[in-house]
Amino acid sequence: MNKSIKLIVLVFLAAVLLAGFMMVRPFGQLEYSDMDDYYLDHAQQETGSNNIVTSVVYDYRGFDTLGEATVLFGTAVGMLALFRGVPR
Amino acid sequence: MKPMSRITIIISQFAFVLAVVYGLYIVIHGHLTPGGGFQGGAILASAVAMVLVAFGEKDIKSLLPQKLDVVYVALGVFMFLSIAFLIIIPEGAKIEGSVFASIYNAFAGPGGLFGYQTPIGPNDGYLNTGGIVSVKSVITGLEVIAALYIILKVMFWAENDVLSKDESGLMNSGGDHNA
Repeated sequence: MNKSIKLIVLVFLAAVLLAGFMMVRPFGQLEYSDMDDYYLDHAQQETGSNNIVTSVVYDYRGFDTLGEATVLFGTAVGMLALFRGVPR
Repeated sequence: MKPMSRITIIISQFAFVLAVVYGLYIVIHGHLTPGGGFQGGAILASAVAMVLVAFGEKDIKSLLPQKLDVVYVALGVFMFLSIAFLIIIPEGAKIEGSVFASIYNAFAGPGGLFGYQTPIGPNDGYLNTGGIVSVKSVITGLEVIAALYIILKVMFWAENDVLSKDESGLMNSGGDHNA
């Protein structure tokens, strides 16, 4: 009983994942590439950065990076608070 | 944690210099080459981790800052916040078509720190360009190295505490630090 349920779940998951894998578009042939084309065409003159990934990370999506930095800050403060009783 | 063998200590000193130079290169060239603040900060922190593991607790207190790390991480977040929020588009600012995306890149163009105009199109990659993108990358590198160093140091204290309380050798069976 238990084993058959596991087998059914396994077959179902494998079928779903294989179907999703079959439906993946070929590499480099995107369906919608407007955003990518915009970044590639305008990032250098809009942000002044040669590296388009950096221009996206620090300029177009700067608030996301700010959130990451805040998460890291919270992690450091949390570690200090967690181990506050440890002698240094 | 006991210091590792003398060979490891010497080689870790050489590799520390190389790793720090490489990490600073990654941080400073964030607007030109792959990488940036997070990746370069992680490289710097792994260099510090290597030295911490190699030296043990013996000489490390004179090598690394002990008090100011929280100041650095708070400074990184605060500077990132201030740059992100203070430099919004000024009212009636003349946007010359080269320095405006989601925030007004006030540092790019007039010269100064990272302030030269970026040539449009394929170019050689001049270091002193980029404006706010470069400055934010460097600030993020500062914050990442400070935060990861805090995490490493706190876990190092904790391990020293556990090892000093546990004299029966229960936690000492890893074999890594018995050199």
